[in-house]
Amino acid sequence: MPASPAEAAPALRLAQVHAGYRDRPVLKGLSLTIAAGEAYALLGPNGAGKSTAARVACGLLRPERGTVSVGGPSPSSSADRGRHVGLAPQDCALFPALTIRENLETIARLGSARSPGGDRACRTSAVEDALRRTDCIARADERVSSLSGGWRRRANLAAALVSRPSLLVLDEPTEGVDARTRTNLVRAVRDTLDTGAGCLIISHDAAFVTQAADRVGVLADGRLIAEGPLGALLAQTFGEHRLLTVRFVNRPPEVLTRQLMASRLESNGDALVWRRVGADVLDLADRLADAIDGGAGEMIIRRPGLDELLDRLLESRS
Amino acid sequence: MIAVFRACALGFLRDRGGLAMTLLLPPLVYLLFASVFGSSSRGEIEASLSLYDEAQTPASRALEQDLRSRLGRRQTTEPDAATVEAAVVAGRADVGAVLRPGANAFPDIEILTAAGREVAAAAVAGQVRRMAVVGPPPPGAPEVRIRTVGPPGDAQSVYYAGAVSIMFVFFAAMHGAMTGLDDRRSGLQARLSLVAGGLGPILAGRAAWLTVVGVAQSLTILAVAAPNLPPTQPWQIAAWMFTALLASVAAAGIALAVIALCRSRDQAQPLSTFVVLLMAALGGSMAPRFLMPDLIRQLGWATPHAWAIEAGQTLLWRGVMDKTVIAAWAVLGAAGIAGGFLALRIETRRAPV
Repeated sequence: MPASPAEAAPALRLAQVHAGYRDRPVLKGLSLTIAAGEAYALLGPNGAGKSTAARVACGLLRPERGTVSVGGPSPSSSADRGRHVGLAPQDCALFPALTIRENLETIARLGSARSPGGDRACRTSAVEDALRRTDCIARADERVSSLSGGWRRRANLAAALVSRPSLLVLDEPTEGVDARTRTNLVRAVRDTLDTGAGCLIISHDAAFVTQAADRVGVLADGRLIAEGPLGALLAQTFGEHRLLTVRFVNRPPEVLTRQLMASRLESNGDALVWRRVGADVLDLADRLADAIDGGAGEMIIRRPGLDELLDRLLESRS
Repeated sequence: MIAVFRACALGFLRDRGGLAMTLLLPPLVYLLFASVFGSSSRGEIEASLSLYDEAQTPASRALEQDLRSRLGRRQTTEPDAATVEAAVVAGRADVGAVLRPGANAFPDIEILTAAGREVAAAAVAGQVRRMAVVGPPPPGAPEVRIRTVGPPGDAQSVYYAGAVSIMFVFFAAMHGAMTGLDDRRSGLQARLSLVAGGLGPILAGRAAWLTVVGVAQSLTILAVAAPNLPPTQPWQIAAWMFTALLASVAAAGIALAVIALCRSRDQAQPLSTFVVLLMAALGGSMAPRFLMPDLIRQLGWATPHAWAIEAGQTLLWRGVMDKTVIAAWAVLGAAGIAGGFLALRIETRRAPV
């Protein structure tokens, strides 16, 4: 049985990390902790420092200041840290001419070369385990070059799992995948968390983050501006507010446009989609229903989600 | 390391087009080069000359002085005819000349050449003949004859076995090393280096694989060239293969370093082609170095090609294992190791682990 998150050492701890490239500082005092068995999604706009944070966590980039530890007390070197990390890069980082199984075996062999106890049986077991968790067994003996995008994503994740890492780092793991594969990847991640590993997710996929992450952190300009369970952040930011979305197939008539603007709905620019977050959107929807219906539009009311949270946090910061 | 080597091997074996190009093209080009350059070298040649003046007449001394002023340090004077012959056979001089007492005012001139360098001998013979008759015309004319010295066998075949081998070993190494760019771009290199604890085992695995490909290429060329080679002992073949192994190590190290300098295939392709062609041209893979100007010949020693070809000639044609071979092995091995370390340093600075 894996230790509970409260008992186990954190899967990742970044403390006051400053890092960047040459003269360009990217992370400016980033601190975050991922508990064992916890999935943490690091969100933010492009250039906020998400990928840099992932590189620092993996040991691929040395921080200029601050400390990094993976799976317990800080190891002696970033190279040592790497062996505790399973990285699934944004691209499909596999040998295309090899099958999924051969790729996993290659990675397992490299890993076992550093661990005297890593014998053949251990490697085989790790490979089969990674294939099973990602549901890759059916296509395990097909070459990566012949796989579809979704299967490559699964294989990419399987390759990150094969070293049985303390920390899983997923960089945009669902780019270009369908809903079914996304569900499969979520299941694989959650299944891995049950073994006591932590997971750092870098993703723009709101659906994946919502399903997979226990906590989210919002990064802007190299600093964490919000952190917590997604539900708590949403409740804290929006309370009982709802999101009203109005969509049109064609540009609405001028009269209706003026009415929407007067009701403080904001357009995305082409006047086909209008949105407003507020406590009164139910009443507002009632008032606008006939007009919108006449303009061949549709209304959706729901609780604000991750996208709205990011928009709000980044707006309020700017 | 073994895991990466195995992965590289599987990828290579499954790329049939690449497999065919890697193993069939080199012997084809070898046959082409050997037939074209073997019989058609023409033009002015800056050959080096080893000379012994046995005649010691005013005319012979004047001829020696004249040669020295024209050839400069390309001409050496030896104490006896045997030393001249040894210098020609060993490749220290392209051509030898022995000035013997003649029947008239001129010395008889014996031009010594090794098989495959007849063009250089003919050029030198022509020069000597012209120089000997400059001045007031004495009765008669110098007798100039050319004698081929050294072991029997087709020296050109031996030459091009080495020349084409090393050129294609470098082509294949550059091509193979370029997969590292894809691995770097996709994140595979980062993934593997995390698991392996650094880039060292990754680059070592790649270098080992490139070396094996290079040796395989050299073997295919040796197999095709075998009927034309002089009679050889097993030790000569073994030593030649060791030279091929070290040449492949050098190619692997240099290729990894060149590719490490590049950020994309767009950069790597022209750069690697340029480096390969430049080294091949300077090092004597495209034409025998005795056909080149003296400066280019000296520059050629900066390439692994010149050393590999010279070692091959020494081992297979001259049939000796001397300090030239040992020096070549040292240079080739050092080039490979230095290239490998340079590649590791560049790659590590690019993605520190």
